[in-house]
Amino acid sequence: MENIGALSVLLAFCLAVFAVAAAVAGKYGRRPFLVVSAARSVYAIWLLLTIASGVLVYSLITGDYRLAYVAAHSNKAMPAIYKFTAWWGGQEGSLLFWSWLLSSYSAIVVYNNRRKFQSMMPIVIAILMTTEAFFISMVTFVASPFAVLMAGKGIINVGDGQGLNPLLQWWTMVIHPPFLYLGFVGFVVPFAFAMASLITRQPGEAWIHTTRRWAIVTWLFQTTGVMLGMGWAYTVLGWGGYWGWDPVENASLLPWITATAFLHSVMMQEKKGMMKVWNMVLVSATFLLSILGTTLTRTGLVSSVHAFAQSPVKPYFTTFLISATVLTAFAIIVNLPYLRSEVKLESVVSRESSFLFNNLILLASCFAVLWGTLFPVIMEALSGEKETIDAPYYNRVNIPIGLFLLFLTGVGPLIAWRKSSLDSLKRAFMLPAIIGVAVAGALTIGGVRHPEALLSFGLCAFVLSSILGEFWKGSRAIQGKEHVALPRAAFELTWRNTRRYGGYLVHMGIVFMFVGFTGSAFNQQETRYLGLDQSTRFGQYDIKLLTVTDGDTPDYAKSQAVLDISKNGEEIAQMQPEIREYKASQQQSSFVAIRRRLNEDLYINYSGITSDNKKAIFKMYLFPLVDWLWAGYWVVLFGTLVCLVPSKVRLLYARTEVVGIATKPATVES
Amino acid sequence: MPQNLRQWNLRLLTAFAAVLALSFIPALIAQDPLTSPAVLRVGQRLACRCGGCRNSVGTCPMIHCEFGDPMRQRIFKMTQAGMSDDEIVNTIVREDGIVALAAPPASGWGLFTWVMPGIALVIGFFVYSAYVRRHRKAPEQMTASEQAVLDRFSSQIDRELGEDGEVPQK
Repeated sequence: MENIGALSVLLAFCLAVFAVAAAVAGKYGRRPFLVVSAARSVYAIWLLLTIASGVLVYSLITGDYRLAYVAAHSNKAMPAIYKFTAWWGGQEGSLLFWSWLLSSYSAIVVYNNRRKFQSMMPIVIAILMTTEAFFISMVTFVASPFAVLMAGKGIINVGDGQGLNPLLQWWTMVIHPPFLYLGFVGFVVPFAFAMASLITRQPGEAWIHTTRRWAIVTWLFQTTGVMLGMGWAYTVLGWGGYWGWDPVENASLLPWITATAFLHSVMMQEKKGMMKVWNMVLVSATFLLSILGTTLTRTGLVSSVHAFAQSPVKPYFTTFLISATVLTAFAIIVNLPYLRSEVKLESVVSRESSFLFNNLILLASCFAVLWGTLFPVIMEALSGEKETIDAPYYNRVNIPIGLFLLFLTGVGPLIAWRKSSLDSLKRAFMLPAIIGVAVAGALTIGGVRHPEALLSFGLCAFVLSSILGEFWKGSRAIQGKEHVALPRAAFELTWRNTRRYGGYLVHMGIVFMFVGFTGSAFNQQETRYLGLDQSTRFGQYDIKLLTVTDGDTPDYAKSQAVLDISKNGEEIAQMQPEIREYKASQQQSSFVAIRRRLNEDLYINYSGITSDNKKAIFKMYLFPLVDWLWAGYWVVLFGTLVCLVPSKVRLLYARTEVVGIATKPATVES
Repeated sequence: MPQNLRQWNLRLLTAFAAVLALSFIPALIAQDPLTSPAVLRVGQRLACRCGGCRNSVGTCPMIHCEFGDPMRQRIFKMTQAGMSDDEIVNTIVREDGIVALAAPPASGWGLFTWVMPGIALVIGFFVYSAYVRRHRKAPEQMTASEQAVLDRFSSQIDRELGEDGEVPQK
């Protein structure tokens, strides 16, 4: 079986190299059959990688522990779903998974555009397949998932494997890596179209119209992946942390930030023909940061709890990253004249200017995170001394930037395109500013004394009221004109311009997330020791230990505590935190009990029995407002889906100034 | 002394003793090396190197953290020996290296960590203002005839609106 898998990836590698050569030769040698052959190679690569992945998954499910990868990442006791997820649970398998996802994306792109962009598609194929060839070469020559354990030394059967890390045996971990990879890998496509458009000097903004939805969907995958990771950390690690500024977490955040900046600034190019260089830089940066993220995770370049062990892929990834950066920069610099803006900025006080500013701040945040992530590596290389950059640095640098971005989120919708007068600004700002100040004032009177939290809550109220104001004004106008109920008018308003109002919904979700982040300023934690039938008071809760029971399953042994939770003398819940000890790995893992509410989460971690066997030890946490973080995600998801729905009304924007001859106005959904 | 008053005195004394005892409780709790305010204060300057949370020793929320708890004990012993916050941090950095700090010092190479985001932001502002200056549309120069048309309309507006801005009655 493993030979079929190994042969499939080897053939896929050969075909990827052929596809690059055929696409380029076909394009510049004017040999259309070569371009067609390159396109068909893309389908063949997908088929071969699907076979290879199928072989690996089959080996994992059936427990073929002769394979080093299977032995290292699965065992007999693991449930089938986790055996399946072991496909991407280790270095070699995850590289195969990366390659397979990219081949799937490439096949979809090639199929969807089989009759479009004849001059651009060969370059798109060449860029996609160059990336694909690199990843398949890793799977084929450097980190093969089909390597046989002790091959040639007479061992033909291995009893059992080591199993997957117990912390990873959790439902969010089943889907967290795929979503993150879908986001990482997905941005190769907009990058390929952008570069192809640049290299072939396409007229207009075809690459943006083609990849806009693609960019939004991959951004949504990235967001979902990051949020699932946060949700997993919150639930599984046992201390309620959801973001630790770990280098690998940062690596997933970096392309997300540049992708967010791109989704904003790309509107400027669509509507005004401005910021073409900037968009090219952002889409390239997103791709390169995705590769950097993959490099950080896989090479052990930075020390991280998430990173795979030191592996031989490091020099190859570093070389690929540097080469891709140099080539991309070269392509952009050589083609700068092609990227000249068509329109001048009419006023500093305009939506265009605010987009620029928003991009600047997003990039500053991206740089601060990147700098903090890489500085220890640079420092060690320069001075030979190891340095730690932990949460205190990131919080100090990023909280002010984050709050300023939140402020800009509220300001953006209030400023008109082209130019805003001071009077109109004053009118638009007055009510949201009063509401923001009122909320901060009310919280101060209510006893909140945390300055950053007050500022954050005030800004959240400001942004939320500015967004709701936009919905209110638009809906009232439709209601007055068409005499329909207000909810119907709001629905109609959103449908008429899904991108704009979907975007506002996304912003609303981000505000909710900020409410969740801010709540962490008021977290509480205590360690309590409880005997049977003993109670303790924590926050507003009376917590009583009812029982402690032991249990056993084929995969793990467990000890479970049952706690009775009361509030104001009334029983409100029973919570059952437990500890598991996995038999194969001998690793212990806590399964916390969480009572989730919008105002606060009660989070209890049962950590064992005291040495005299008389009391159970519990670490208890109160996490105020943390659920707003998860609620915010669902609003972001909903808003993004709204953005993807075609608008009922297609608006025509004639560019105000166009360099060259315009034969027809640009057709853009606003 | 009347019986009633004696009882009241006794109650007051009991209440006072209770208040006094209660006021000692925080001090007693503070002696716990893991929760002492001095330990948590110093701990916030030191990195928790357990490899799991990436918090500071003072803010590490992990239960029985294999790195944070012994480090808090170590800090507690130093506070008991009368060392100041700076002395404790300096001693630990001397023994463990600069890796012990939760964030790099604002001196030497460590200064770069702090100033680079700021420098990047300043450069960004320069790029932004340069872009705005370069791409800002210059105010349009009007020809003499366009100016004459504008003047004519302006004076018509003034005439029709009157001095106080109200539209004259016809």
